[in-house]
Parts: sequence; structure tokens; C-alpha cells
Amino acid sequence: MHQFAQADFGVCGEFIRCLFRVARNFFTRGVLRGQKNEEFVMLLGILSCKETIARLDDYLDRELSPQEVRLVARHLKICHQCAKRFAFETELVEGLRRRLHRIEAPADLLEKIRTSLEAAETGAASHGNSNPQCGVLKDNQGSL
Amino acid sequence: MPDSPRAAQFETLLAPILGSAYGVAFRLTGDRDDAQDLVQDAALRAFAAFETFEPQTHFKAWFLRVLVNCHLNRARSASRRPQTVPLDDGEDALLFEAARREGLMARGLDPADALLARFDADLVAAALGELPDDFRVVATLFLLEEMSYEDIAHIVECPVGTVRSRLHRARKLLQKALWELARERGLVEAQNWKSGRSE
Repeated sequence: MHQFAQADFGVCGEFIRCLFRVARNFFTRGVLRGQKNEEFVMLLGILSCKETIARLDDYLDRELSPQEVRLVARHLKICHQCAKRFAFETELVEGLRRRLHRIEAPADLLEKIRTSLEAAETGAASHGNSNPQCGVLKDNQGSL
Repeated sequence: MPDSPRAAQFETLLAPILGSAYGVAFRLTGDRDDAQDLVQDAALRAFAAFETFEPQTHFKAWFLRVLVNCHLNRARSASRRPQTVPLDDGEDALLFEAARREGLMARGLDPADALLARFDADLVAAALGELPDDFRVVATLFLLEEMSYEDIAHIVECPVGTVRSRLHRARKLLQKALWELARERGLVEAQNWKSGRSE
């Protein structure tokens, strides 16, 4: 059985190998006692509520892979409670973004920066330094 | 436009992103004058190190990295003691549970919208200002600039996993700060502050 599972049968073989591993885990480590089995989850597309909520932050941050998004969406279709939580948190992020609307920069900010850059260049040139402000503006750690 | 070609090139790249940079600076400092000062300081530092900018890369991310560094250095030197991070981030889904307790789920409204209607822009800005610096930086870049973990990691110079966990904690801390401020201002019922466990 083990040799059979190790053989290369393409997608079908991968499916059989995964079933073999799930069955082995079932008997040896106790899948039914709540042990997570990501391979089983990804293969059969089944997410529990706990696994779905664990993906909430990455979902909101648009950091889930397309495959995981499909898994989450599949769960949300059949779980009203999780769907409500996801909808709430999504709308909360959007609402916070609307309230933190961008503040306009002062109209003369670019002009002020231009003046200070010119002063920096003039100062550097008069001191024979091709890199204005270098050493003065770098912090103690030497990073930008 | 400046006379020097180097300054002119720098200004050409800076001008289109100045609004974003000022917006981030304002949310980090919470003050218009401090924000202006921070952007000017960052511009000088960035100009001084302009040779290190690789033209094929993203100038905005590079400049925001300088700006965030300036802000964190200023914040560290301004406070004598290192900033403490609360051990208690607040409960999971605090506002969701609050909306449920207030019965907002059952009224056929959008519960998040109904709850947020009580939080104006000042309250949200104040809550963001309550976050410790490291958390406020990632929350600002995520909420205001809608940046990915990878972009934020590049700006704050830490691994993507650290950004993920900081953002997760920042979200909880922000919800907690929002609710505490709303409670202090009498915008929500005081008894609904306690978690569902007490009811």
C-alpha cells in the first residue's frame, strides 16, 4: 500500500496518496480528535468555521491565494454566522478607510521643500561636498 | 523647477506622491505642522541619499521608507523610556460582538455601517493615534495606502510575517481604542463595554 501511494500517477496519483496519508493520520494521530489536516482540507475543499475565521485577517488584507479565497467563499455560502462576521469586518475596514480620508497637503509644501533642497545643494557645493546633507541627515544607525 | 538636474529629477519623482506622503505623515504625527515638518525632513534625507535609489524601483515606497524611519527616530528620541505595548490587545471581534449586543444585526441594517455612524472621522483618527508607533505605522500604510504585506514589510524593514502579526494586533487594538473612546464620549452604552461573557 505504501509503495502504491508513492508511485507517480499524476493528479489521480496525488489524490490517492493524499487519501492514504489522511487515512494513516486518521488511525495513527486521530483526525477525529480535531487534529488539523491541511492536505485534506485543501484537497476536498472543506473548511471548518474555526479554519475560516483563522483566514479572516488575510482575507481582509487580500493576502489569501486564489485557491484559499475559493475555499473561504465556499464556506461563507453555507455558513450564515461566518458570512455575517466576514461582511461586518470587511465593511468595518472600508468604513474606517472612508473616515481616514486623505488630508490635502499644504499648497506651498513643494515650494518649501524646493527651497530647502536648493539650500542643501548650495551648502554642499560651498563645502566641496557632492552629496548634500550627507552625514548630517543620516541617523545614528546610518540608515535612511 | 530647480536649477540642478539632480534636484529637478528628485522633484519630478516627489511631486506626484507628495499628497500621499503628507497624508501618511499626518496620520503618524496627528498634527498638520508636525506632518509638514516630517515630510520636509524626509525629503532632505531622501535627497541626500538619492544616489541609493534605483530608478527601476518604486519611488513612493522608497520615500515612505525614509519618512517612516524619520518618524520612528523622532518618536524614539522624543520619549525617554521605550514605548510599551499593551499586553491585552482586546477581545477578538470586539466591535462585531458589540454590534450584536446592541441588536444591530437584527434590524435589517448593515451592522458595521450602523455602528460606524457613531464614530466620526475625529474619533477614528484619535483611536489610530492611540496605537503604539510600530502598530500605527502598519495600520496607516494598510488603511490609508491600501498596501500589501510585502510593500509594508519593505517600508518598515521587517519580515512579512512580522507585518502580518503587527497588523492583526493593530486591528484588535484599534477596535479596542475605538470602543473605549466612544464609551468615554458617551457615544455607546457603557454596559455594552463589558464582553459578552458578563451578560
